[in-house]
Amino acid sequence: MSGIPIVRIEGLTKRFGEFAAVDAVSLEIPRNAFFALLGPSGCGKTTLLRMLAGFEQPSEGRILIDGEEMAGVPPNRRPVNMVFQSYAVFPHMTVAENVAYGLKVTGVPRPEIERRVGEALRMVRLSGFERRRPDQLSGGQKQRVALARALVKRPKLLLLDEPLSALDRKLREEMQLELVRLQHEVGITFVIVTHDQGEALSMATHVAVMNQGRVLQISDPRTLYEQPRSRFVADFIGQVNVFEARRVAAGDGELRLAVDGIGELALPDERPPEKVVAVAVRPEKMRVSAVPPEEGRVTIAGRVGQIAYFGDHSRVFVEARGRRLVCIRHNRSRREEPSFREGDPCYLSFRPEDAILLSS
Amino acid sequence: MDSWRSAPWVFWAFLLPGGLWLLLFFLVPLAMVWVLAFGERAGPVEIVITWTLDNYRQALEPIYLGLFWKSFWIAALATAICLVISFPVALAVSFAPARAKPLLLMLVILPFWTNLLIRTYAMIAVLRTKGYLNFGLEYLWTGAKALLTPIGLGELLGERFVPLSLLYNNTAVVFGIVYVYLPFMVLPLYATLERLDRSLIEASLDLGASQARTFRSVIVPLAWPGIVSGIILVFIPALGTFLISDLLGGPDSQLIGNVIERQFKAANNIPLGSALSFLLLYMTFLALALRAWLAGRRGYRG
Ligand SMILES: Nc1ncnc2c1ncn2[C@@H]1O[C@H](COP(=O)(O)OP(=O)(O)OP(=O)(O)O)[C@@H](O)[C@H]1O
Ligand SMILES: [Mg+2]
Repeated sequence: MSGIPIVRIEGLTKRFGEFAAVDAVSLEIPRNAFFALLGPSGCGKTTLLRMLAGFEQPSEGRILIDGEEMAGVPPNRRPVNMVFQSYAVFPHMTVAENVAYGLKVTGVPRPEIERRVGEALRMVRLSGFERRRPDQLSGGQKQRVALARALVKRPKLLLLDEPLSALDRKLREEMQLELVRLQHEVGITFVIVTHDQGEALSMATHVAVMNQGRVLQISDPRTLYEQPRSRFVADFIGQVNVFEARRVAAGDGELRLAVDGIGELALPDERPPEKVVAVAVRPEKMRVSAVPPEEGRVTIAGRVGQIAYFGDHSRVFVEARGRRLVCIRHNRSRREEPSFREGDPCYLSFRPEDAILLSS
Repeated sequence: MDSWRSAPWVFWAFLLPGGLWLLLFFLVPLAMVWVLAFGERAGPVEIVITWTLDNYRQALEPIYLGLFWKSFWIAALATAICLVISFPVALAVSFAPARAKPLLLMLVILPFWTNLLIRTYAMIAVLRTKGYLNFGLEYLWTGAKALLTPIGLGELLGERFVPLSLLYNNTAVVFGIVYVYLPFMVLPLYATLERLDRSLIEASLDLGASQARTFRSVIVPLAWPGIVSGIILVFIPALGTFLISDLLGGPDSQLIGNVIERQFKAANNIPLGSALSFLLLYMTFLALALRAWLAGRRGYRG
């Protein structure tokens, strides 16, 4: 059994009228994955999740959960539970009643309910809150009630629709760690929707980037960040400097490109994509210096445009050949004086192997 | 919003017209009726207030108590039927596509735009022995007869169509009350169901509850404030109705409202009528107290 992926989606499409909210999506989610769906607002993440939960019927394609076809299976018969974006904690029940609800309606015996509810509340660190009503809870606590209520059912798949978006930043970071801890503890596959890239990268084992109903890339977080395949993914995950490029020659373990704003660039030819349309460089891979850098780095001369201070780092925007490029400088010492001022001439440089090849 | 504290005269100026209206046309007449209940008839139109308790004593005689009891049951039955009919209607309207909602709501309210008297007469035309309902039934009967006679089963349906007597009995009164007060039940129910967060219903289904269980454990408890309002809005006027029982009821369908009306008019016993009115009012207070208790017991107010 464990050989088959927990979720298999084949050619899944959902249309609202003419508009395809989810467009021919095929993917597999491995068992015990922490799978993040990432994409801009309106790209179809919630719709995809709701089809997994059974609240929307696919227009085309199919969904298999643990090898079982889900067409025609209503939400209350799927081995799937969902944590709603609005939490949807029942306001007329106490915390304990909320968590017990899913067990009670399926006829689990009372002593077992009590044991499992206690266990679930301990897991989300809400022991002692059993008799509270939802209107006496904070946002984070409600969120944990929703989580406990879903986990107590021991689903094969837990769906979370932007579970942290209503929390303030500090609580959100705490809950991110908490979710990862929980996922390790219970060994259930998590599918989480988010439009916060940091959240996706730090929590997930797999990230799927969606845009306009399509899945553009599914990778582990590191690959997604260091080897995005398309301009959209590179730009959506973190910041990036993009240069239009054209292939000139390849061979001898070297790929030669004509790059706008840089000139000819020779890159180590490791598995280049079919087509190269652009080259991208992450800002933290760029270095800004007052003097020309050592040999072996690709160098662009320009002028410091603007410096944005973020505490742990600064972003230096450099005007070069009519473009604005960005570079990150880490503020490593308290004593370090700002070495640049706006308008100073400077050199931006990066190592050729840090250039990302984009194929679309 | 306690800026009225800084300009109290604005507050009083706004309060004045409504307050005066209530005082002159509601509280003063009410007080007059209250006083009249302690009066004695001293002639065809004269009443002297002697602070006698005779009227109340008479109003508490078994014949009137029986009528109170009967009115209570008829009103309660009609309210229950209203609730059972209205819940699916309100649910359907609140789940209807946004564009259809105003139309559906208008259909619910539409009968309101017709005068109560005309509506009740229309009910007579529908329910009477030679009314539309019996015409329809007869039509079906004739059809069934024509179908069954060739196969020898025609006997089963009897010689002739016997029209149902639907009018001039207690059933007709309940029917009439349900018909007239239905919108008072549908609208508050709709108002609470409309505000009900759809994701709560989905969460219940997601947690493995069936549709029926979701209805019972999530929708009904959350619609509770609307249910209570609807019950009050139907039950109280139904308790005092006299027009519907007068027009649709039979000789044994007298309700307390009819008796009170008679005391003030035909029987010309205003003191007794006043005493009966106040007893009815106290029953209403009881119903409202029950409502407060019920709302408090559920502990949840939307
Ligand atoms: N019931 C519906 N009827 C018509 N269009 C819909 C419906 N539900 C969603 N859509 C459309 O489908 C698209 C995808 O919606 P969805 O809610 O899946 O986006 P999302 O990725 O979850 O966005 P967000 O990050 O803002 O939550 C949107 O353009 C939305 O307008
Ligand atoms: Mg969404």
